[in-house]
Parts: sequence; structure tokens; C-alpha cells
Amino acid sequence: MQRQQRAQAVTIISPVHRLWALWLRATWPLADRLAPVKRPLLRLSFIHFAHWSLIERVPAGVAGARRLAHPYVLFQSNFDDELSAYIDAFSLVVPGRMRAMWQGVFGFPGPRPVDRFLSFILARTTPAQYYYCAYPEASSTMVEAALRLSEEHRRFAAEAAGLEDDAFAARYAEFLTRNQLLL
Amino acid sequence: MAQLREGREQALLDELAALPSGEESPFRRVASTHFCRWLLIPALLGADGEAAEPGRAYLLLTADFDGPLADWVAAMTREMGPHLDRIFEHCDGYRGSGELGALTDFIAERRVSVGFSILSSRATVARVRSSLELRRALREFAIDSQGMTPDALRRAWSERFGA
Repeated sequence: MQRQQRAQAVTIISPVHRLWALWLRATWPLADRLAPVKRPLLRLSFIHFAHWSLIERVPAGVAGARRLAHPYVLFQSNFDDELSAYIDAFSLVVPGRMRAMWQGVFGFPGPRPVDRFLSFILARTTPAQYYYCAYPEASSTMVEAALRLSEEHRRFAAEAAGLEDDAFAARYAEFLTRNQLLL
Repeated sequence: MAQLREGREQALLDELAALPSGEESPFRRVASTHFCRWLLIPALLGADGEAAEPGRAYLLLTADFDGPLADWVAAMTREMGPHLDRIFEHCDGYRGSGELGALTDFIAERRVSVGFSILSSRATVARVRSSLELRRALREFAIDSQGMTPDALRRAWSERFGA
């Protein structure tokens, strides 16, 4: 795990039962498109990006390449806060989805109790030797707020363009009140 | 994910340690890159926790970027080709960044497809940065404009935000 200001990275590579790899390969295409599957994970506002992949051959993109002894689930994420808080949230908020991802990983203890799940994660984390973030000063929440505020600003600027000074001041006060949590 | 040439682990670690980071990172010049990391996988572990393929190590490059892979690789070649060469030369099958097609193939062939993703937003790096800058400017303006008369507020807004 690497820390660079607000965002940090976690990378986990775990061997998985071959049948479980088949399950993941079969279910991911649909799950990745279903909003109800993703919604609880998207509500974990400290996640910038999180990706799950399956590695079965090396090189991965070459047909007929060398098959690995086991398939591997690769989980990699960029997130804010501490890894323990991240895993806490996985365990408490979306335990079913964690089972659906990792149940077939060798040694997976289940998402609860959380300390056992955290130990499992920590034991399989591979540290990054190099990490880059394009906006290290910003948390995921700050990015989301900035993007929403940018839209609100665009709307306000268009509406306010033709207003007289007094009407402008009133509209600006409304704009500030409505968006104070985004500032 | 690329397999390392035998015995190259330490040389690779030295190169990664020497790569400038933060504001000086060459990835800052590859403007479509949100996040990027390089990591050495000394060995893939088997079910028993032991190395599944003793003696085989891998280099993993993971990145979130805007646009297609080919454009990102082209930008990396343009902006940080010598860095790529010094790192990827420790990997099997690397033929240098001199020929863009060969480098794109090298990366595409070793690319691990994503099965399931959570993305906090789909905004480009440029849009994220400009939005963060606008947010900062709006916050400063909200503080600085307290107590202004309507005409002064209007004038200050126009000067700061151009409308």
C-alpha cells in the first residue's frame, strides 16, 4: 500500500479455484452493467477507482500463452483514507458483494468478522514501488463536489448573464446557499 | 503484467526508485493519466502460499487514463520514452519505445482485461483539474465578496469569472 497525500493505492493478487474463475468470468459482464449491483459500492465515497480482473495466462492478451497453475483475481484500487477503513466498509456495507468476488479465493475467510478479513487482505497486498496521482490534493469526495459545482456554476453563469445588479446579487446568494456543501 | 527477465529484480527496483515522482513525475506530462503505479511481483503464490512458479517474477503496471490505449501509449512514448525503456527493458519481449506499433503491441499483449469496475466519475483529467480549480476560486470569491454592494459584486464576479 502506498500513500501519496490523499489518495493511496492497494493491489491484491490472489490465487483462485478454477471453477470460481469460471463463475467470475460468467457473471462479471452482466454485473458490471447492472446499476443495482454497483450502487452500494459507488456510495463508498472514498473510492476513486476499483477494478477486479482475472489473470489466467501470461501474457494475458495472447491466445495460446502460458497457462498459470491457478487463475488469479487481481484487485487494484485508488482510494482515500486508510486501508482498514476501506476493508471495514467492504465488510459492513457490501459483504454479499465481497463474497461474490472472493469466495473462491484460496484462504478467503469471508467478509466478517472484519479483523479476519483485514488480515486476509493485508497478507495478500503487494506494495507499489511507484505511484502517481494526477490530482493528489483532492479526495474522491472533493472531485465529485468540484464536478457538480462546475455544472452548477455553468448554469448560474448562463442564467445570471442578463440580470441587473440587484437581481444578480439575489441570484448569487441563492447559488451560494444551494451549493454551500459543494464549496 | 509482464514477466521479468531472469535476475532483473534489483535492477528494476533501482530504476523505479530513480523515476521522478510527484510534480516531477514524467506521468504529469502524459496528461490523460489519472492514476498509475508500477509494482514488482516477486512471485505468484499458489494455494499453499508458496511460490507457484519459483524463479518467475513479474512487473505490473496499472493505470487509469482517458481515451484509448493506443493514444495513451503514444503519449507515454512521446513524453517519457527513455524512462519506459529503462524500466521495460527488464521484461521479456520488450523491443524498445522507438517503434510505437511494437510498444503498443507489447503493452496490449500483456494487458489484463478488467472484469468489474467501480469508477467515482468518468470525467477526464483536464475536467477534474479545471473543476477543482474552479471550486477553489468560487470558495475564495465567496469569502472575498462578503459585504459587497450589488454593483461591486457584479463587477468583481465579471472580473474573476468573465461573465
